Amino acid sequence: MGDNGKPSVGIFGLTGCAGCQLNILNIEDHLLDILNLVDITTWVMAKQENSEGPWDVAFVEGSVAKKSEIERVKKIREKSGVLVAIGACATHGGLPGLRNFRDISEMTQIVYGENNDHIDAIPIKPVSAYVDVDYELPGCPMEKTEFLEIVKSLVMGKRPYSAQYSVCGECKALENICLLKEGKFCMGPVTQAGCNALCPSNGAVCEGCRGPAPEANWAAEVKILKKIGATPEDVRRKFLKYCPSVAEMPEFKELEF
Amino acid sequence: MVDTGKSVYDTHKCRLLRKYDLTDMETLFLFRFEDPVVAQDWRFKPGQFVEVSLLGLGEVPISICSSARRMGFFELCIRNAGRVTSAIHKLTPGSLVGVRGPYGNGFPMDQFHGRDLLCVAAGLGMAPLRSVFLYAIDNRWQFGNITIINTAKYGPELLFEKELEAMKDIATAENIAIVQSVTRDPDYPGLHGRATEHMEKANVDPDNCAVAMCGPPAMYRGMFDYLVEKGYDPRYIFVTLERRMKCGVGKCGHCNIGTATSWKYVCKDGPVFDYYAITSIPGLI
Amino acid sequence: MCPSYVMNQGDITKLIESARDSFDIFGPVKKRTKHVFDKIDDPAQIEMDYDSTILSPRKFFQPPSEVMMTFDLEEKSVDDTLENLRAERPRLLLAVHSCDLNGILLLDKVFGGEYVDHYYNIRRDKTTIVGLNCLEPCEYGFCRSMNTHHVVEGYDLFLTPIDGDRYFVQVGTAKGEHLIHMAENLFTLAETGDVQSFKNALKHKQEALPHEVDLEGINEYLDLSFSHPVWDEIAEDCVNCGACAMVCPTCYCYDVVDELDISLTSADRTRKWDACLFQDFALVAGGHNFRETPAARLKYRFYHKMRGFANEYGIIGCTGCGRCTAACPSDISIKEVLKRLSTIWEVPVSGVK
Repeated sequence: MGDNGKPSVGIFGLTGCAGCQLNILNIEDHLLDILNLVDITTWVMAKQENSEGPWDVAFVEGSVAKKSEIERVKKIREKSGVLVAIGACATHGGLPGLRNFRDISEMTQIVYGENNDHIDAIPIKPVSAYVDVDYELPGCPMEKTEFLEIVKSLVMGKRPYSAQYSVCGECKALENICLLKEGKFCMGPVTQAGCNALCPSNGAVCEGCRGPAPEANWAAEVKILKKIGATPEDVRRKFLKYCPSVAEMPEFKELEF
Repeated sequence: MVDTGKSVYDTHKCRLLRKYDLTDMETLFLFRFEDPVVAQDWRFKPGQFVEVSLLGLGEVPISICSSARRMGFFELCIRNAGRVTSAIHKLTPGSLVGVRGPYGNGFPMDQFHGRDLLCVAAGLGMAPLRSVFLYAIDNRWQFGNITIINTAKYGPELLFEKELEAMKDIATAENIAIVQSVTRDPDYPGLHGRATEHMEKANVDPDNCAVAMCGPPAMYRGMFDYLVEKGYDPRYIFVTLERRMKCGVGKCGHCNIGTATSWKYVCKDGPVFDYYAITSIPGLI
Repeated sequence: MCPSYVMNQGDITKLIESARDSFDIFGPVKKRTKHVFDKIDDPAQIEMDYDSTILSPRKFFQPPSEVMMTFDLEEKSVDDTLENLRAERPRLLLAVHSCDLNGILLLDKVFGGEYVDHYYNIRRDKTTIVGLNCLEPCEYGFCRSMNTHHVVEGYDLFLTPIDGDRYFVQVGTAKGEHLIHMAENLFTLAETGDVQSFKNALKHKQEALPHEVDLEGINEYLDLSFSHPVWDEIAEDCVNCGACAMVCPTCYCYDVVDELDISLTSADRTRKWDACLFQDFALVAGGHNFRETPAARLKYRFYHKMRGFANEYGIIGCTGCGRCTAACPSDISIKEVLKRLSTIWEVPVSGVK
């Protein structure tokens, strides 16, 4: 416990854009409420003085991209009661994972030149590949509302809500015109809901950044996309762009594009 | 539509008087209505349930497990299983909750008059059946012989074990047989085996017996086969079902069961169903 | 006999203007390539000649999300939002097609009965509904097959296009009559010639609307088809997204959740649209899911709509509006499924069930 009996919180970033951490600061209306409920003892982005732990809750953003990060995330896990992975990088690998589909030594050479022995680069994996994760807030970036929900839940000692269906359910309730029906390659049917269909509500296709919905029917989505002219490569890219860890799932490996 | 003003979702304030841990996961809660008029007038039937509301956390349907003859108080046996129930478990005596109900059809106790009564409970099923059993004891002259068989997988999970054991001596004098057994716990000092294996201890007559059961679907299947084979009249075999519920009044759709031939809301047409409904409607158990 | 009237189709805008002071007015408007029911601020916005809307009128009586009560956790007090609902302005809902009128009648049965749901009924009582007869088939609808192309109740006023530029106006309730009085100069009593035109319009409708699905024996053939392979075939395509339930005029399932304010001093109890297709719909505490697979949930929804609903409420739950087919990412068509199942009489029995 931190000061005043409030739970102590540490917020960390591994390899990612740090946008999810920034998104916490973007919850301007409720930042003070959050600080009333928890004691953030470690947050390099926002504090000058940071503790070495332990923490009641650790929020970890970013994917594990280096060997040194494996050590780091394991240490965070050891010192925290609850660990929450925030953002697509932490939950599914995220955009950094694009490099997983190329030869890693070739990529290192292209980016860093011939002298690259000191570069520590391993295939991108989500936090859950290395430590037990108690909760995940998917999305690129994570949803502010979901962050608030989890803070409330952890303080109250209750399980947080999460939508157990796909984006289409939210999108349709908002009376959006279906982008798939307009021939656009939308991942809504197989993507985890909770973002209030933000992208389709603004005319952009769902890119699947929140990862797969429960029991997502990928084979059906492949069929839908191909029917409107997507090539197998288009479909593969859609599935893996934000969530490269999906490539490891048996259901994905079984798919025929 | 006539607007009578009172909303179906209105709750009555109830105060928690006492909580008593029965097992690791289940606790008995004693509640009393705050409003004396409600306390005086509120009635329920064994097998009915209430929706318990923790403001800001949610609502859960819980079967009432106390005797229907006690006015103003009621007991709920609640398992620590989810978001709301885990918060209920943290309540201290004096806390207020919201309660609405009773909902559901309850066991048709008046149809059982003049018959022997067999109660079979497994696990958490003992909670609603305790209400049936206590009702029968409180109205002893309306029933013949009574047997209650209470089972669980492990000794520490046997619900109301102490209470039932303590009743045994006096109960035998009133022709009430109490049998408690575990199915998977070799260390338990008492009886072992499923309900069907202890039926020889029952003092009920299959030719004139009503059966009330509560437990997992697998238990119903096993007991149905046994009872029918032994000649129990299926018209008097009743079970109670559990489903996800949100409104308790047959509107939110979560507890709908049945598919082709029939269609029921567990909260409104149930939760008590008879043998024929269970065996003829696919998807009930 | 309640008199009928006629009015000019072009006068709808004047009707809106007359009613504006007393009602919030809603009707079909364009949304890119589709239509939706939306608030009409400019009378010129209304598109009476619309095919269908993305969401059905259900959203007016049971909104996608509504706060039922608010809690003050410090005072331990509960305030339901019914008083706010009672204080809202009356609404006028224009141009509701027959399929949707029948849908609303179905919802009335669900939200009435032994336990009256005030959140629905206050909204319902505050809404005046003007129906609109469809004389031509719409793209996805199959109302004629479901016998919902015709209404005898459920409207306050009902408009049938006649003679190309007028409406034949039938009055269903006192609320409808009140609306006519509000804009008396727009309506004239119907004369014999008008009644003849009305009859011609209905005859045209009879011929124009296709009868595609045989409802004869639907209970029987649905019961026999419970294990038909068609369900596994559709399950392969179904993504369990719930879009069909969201757009359906007769789907009513809802979830109730309590949401705490971050200050932890107040909370809301909100009800929002749910769908039996969602994974946790039949999940109970303890982890058992009574409809574990997507295929089981899909089949359940069809059977509830087409079969179970009739058991509970006396009429088939589907109004044939076709929105589900329009909304389905995989183009699953309930009409095609029914057509296929209605031929089960010719399929020989394979083995003992």
